[in-house]
Amino acid sequence: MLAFAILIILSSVPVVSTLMGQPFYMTFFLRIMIYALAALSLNLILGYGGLVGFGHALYIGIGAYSVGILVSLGVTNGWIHLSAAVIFSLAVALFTGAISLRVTGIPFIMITLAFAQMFFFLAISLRQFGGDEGMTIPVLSNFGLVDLGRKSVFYYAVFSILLFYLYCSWRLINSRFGMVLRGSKGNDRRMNALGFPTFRYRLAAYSISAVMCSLAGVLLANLTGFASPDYMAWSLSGELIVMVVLGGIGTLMGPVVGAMALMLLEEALSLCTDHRMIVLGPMIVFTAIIAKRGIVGLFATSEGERR
Amino acid sequence: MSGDILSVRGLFKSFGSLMATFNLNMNVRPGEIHAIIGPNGAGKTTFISQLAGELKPDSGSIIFEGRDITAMPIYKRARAGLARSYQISSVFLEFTALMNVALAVQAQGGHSFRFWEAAAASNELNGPAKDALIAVGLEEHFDTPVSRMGHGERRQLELAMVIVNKPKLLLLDEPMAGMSPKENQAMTTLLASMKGKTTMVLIEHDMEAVFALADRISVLVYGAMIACGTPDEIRANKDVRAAYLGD
Repeated sequence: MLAFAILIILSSVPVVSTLMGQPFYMTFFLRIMIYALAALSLNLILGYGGLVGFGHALYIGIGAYSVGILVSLGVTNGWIHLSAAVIFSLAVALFTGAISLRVTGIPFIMITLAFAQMFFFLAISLRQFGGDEGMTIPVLSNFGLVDLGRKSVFYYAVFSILLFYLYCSWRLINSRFGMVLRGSKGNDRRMNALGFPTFRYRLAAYSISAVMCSLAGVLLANLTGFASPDYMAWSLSGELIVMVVLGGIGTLMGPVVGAMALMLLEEALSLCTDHRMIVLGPMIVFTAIIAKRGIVGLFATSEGERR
Repeated sequence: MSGDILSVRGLFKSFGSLMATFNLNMNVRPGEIHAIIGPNGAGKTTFISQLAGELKPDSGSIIFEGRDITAMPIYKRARAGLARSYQISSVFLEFTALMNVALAVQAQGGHSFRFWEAAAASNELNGPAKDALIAVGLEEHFDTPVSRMGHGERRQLELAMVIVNKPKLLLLDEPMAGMSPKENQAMTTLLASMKGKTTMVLIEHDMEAVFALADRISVLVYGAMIACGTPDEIRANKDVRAAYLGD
């Protein structure tokens, strides 16, 4: 039910904001959906694989810089931007995953964070591409008929991708691959004793998640017209984790709900106070303690809906 | 001996100064139930873990079906037909009973890089899984989440997960641990019914069950094998009585 309500709200935002003469809301909800895409990607490994990746913003950054750098080199074809983001994020994920997935728990958190920080400083050192100030992207990715310059087209393109991600995630977590991923979250030792070489499945899940996340970066760069090292900052990685936990870790809709709740709250609180974390912090702690499956868990009426 | 399904030669394993496995030699014949008994801390679980591949021995070798598997990773041993159960039920709490056993079937049925079709809809997985659940007496619990199952039922499930793939050698670590007398009886009957068809290495504290089921018994004390023989021979053995049976 909650899922339907949210998707209906998201689908009607452009109409409502146009009627209200407030185009700001469309941009704002676009932003929410793009972060929801990133959070959905993270939830695959965090929620279903039990792998706390604390460096997932790295892949947002890779997506954003794929657009920024290619545009500054004169390449505006969106499909090329997308291909670059996919190839580069896949390569980075395979390399960093092959190292970090040797361990779990706190060491995994630290290694993923360390790799993200390395790329953060690499981005800062790229003087020709804006250094620590980042680079403005004067031209949008050109996806042919899908003209991102028109906000409503951009909006519904992202909305479609969101639906596509949700559907693919649902198929994935219930497939044989998904069962291996979820099994190794619950009891990796037993999975090996049953005959699963779990490492290669985790690496595949980590790579899929990274590639999915890089697409969010491509979209974000197009929304803001900007790519900067901040897109790979550890604080953004942390925010993605908060979105997943707040919305409902290991639930299909959780990341979407979490992204929406967090960003709406931040926005609302910033209107009335400069110290929004005073309110937001305790709320996050409260949800994490009370509701094991976040906001989605609070609304779920049956066991089945909670998944 | 060449006819043995498993033979262990000169196995050593220590944790710091503690000798958990001391020069262990053992052989298991096809079709037999080979029980391993010994007081707490004798190194029984450590031994099973080395057979299954979860622990690496310091030295010695493990030969399974004529092949040296000492260095083989655990998942390959499982695929070669060596299945182990755990003393503390090691099942997947989030899943239903059927999903647990279906996952065990999936482990042996080719790779799992299959991203699209729902695993729960696969008869290829569910068919054998249901048979195994019926065999262990859980026919009414296919869709019960494990988190809602009782201790005894989890023990039954644990067994279903290892028998479902018809392993060549079953390593059972205290299958009766913590069971009620009635459940214990049912488990003994079940294992007896598998006798001759499945080769088993059985660790068990329940002496009644051990003497009823085992073809041969090995006695482990402080990591070393002090006796090996038929139940009658073990019962009559002076060393065993002194060290273990305690009467």
